[in-house]
Amino acid sequence: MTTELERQLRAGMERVEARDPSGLAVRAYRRYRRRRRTIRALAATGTAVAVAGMATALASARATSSQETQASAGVGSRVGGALAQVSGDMLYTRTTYTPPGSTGRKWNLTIVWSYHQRIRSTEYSLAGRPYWDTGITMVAGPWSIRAVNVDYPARTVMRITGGSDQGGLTVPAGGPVAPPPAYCSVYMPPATGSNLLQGGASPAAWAKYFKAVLACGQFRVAGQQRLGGTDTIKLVDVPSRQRGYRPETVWLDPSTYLPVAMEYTDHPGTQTRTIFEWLPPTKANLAHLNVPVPAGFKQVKQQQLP
Amino acid sequence: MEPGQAVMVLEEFLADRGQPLLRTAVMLAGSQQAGEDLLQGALERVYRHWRKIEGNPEAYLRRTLYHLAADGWRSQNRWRAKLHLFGQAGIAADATDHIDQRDQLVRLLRQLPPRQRTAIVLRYWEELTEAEAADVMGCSPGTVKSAVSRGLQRLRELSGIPDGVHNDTPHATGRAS
Repeated sequence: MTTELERQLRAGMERVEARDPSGLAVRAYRRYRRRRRTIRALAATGTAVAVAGMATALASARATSSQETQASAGVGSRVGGALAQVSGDMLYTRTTYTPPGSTGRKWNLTIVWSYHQRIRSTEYSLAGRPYWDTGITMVAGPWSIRAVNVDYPARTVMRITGGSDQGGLTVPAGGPVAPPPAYCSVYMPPATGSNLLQGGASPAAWAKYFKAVLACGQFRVAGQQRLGGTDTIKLVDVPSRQRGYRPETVWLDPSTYLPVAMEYTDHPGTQTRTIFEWLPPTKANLAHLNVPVPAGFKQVKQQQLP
Repeated sequence: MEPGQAVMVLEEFLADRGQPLLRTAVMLAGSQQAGEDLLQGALERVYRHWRKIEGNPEAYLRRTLYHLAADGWRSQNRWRAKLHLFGQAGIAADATDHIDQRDQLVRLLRQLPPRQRTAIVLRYWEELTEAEAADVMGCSPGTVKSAVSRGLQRLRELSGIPDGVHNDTPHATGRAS
């Protein structure tokens, strides 16, 4: 039994038409990636600073074996002292993804320049053209962020301002987020490593990061290896059921104990490799932190974060 | 499988099942454009949780679609702003809006609050039982029943369609709970 209203309603619904939805999944994926990237970049600035305060949380750290413990502890203890030898605290990294285009990426190269509270990350398409270009500045004083993102395929530019008084993106007003209570119980690399990378961490932050992951047994020393004509110390991620495991390897410069290269397997068949260079903050190098906005690109509204 | 690889899976899925899904989204959201946005929003969530989704993504996608719609999607304010615009003469309608304005009742459906609209679409278009609709909306069957009842009452008021009864359309009210 049905009413006239219900009959008409159902008949009307039958007449509703919809366009071909092809391409919708791709558009949704682009937006998903855009949001994720923005969120990660913004979160990373917090993470990088937070990591610097984590060393004291590592007292109860464990190691995998006595030999590895000693080797790892040796590296960890030397990291801090090596910082004075670093020629510059401006970081340049070059990340490549193998095979190109894997995991649906439209880019296969990421260049990151970072210095103190500024970072610029540029993705290059498979054809070698800029794909995304993002600049983030942590504004001094209030815990807030200014960011600009240039989307080359869409020919748009989005400016983001965040802070406790902005009503836009917000970062904890009290400063960096607190370190996790059990540092080693959560999966860190490559998440933390890549966050540091994106977040423009200083040599000191990197050093403390490696101290932390060695101290808690998340990484172990796996010998020495010659890489690009330089002897390096090789660290490998230690599998842990609790944290999960994605194989990650880091090569450290034996003279500074800062990373020379980092490599991890995102998922079977896809490798992400980053090469590190520490540079002096010359005028020419600092100019790389600026994100140019090509003429004619349309300004779009600040993205709403979920 | 990574979200990046999900793109191909979902594109294939949409090629096969996308039209009915988008029709649902159009009814839930009120227009072609809003329906596409709604479905796109649901797809984004699918990517976000892709690693947890096993097998056919349709069930998850539908559930997400309904949740987003029932929660008022972006915001209640946006919805109210839309209502206001619908009443304004001289607002240039999207050409695609015209499609679902061919039927007065479907057009009036847009004037219902999101939960009532979602409940009606689930019951009359998807032909879910009250219990099934309650399950996907995350509420009790009683809430669905009440939302449908209020929604129909409101549609009756808006359309002026009399409360006549037909006995010859066995599935018109959806399956029994």
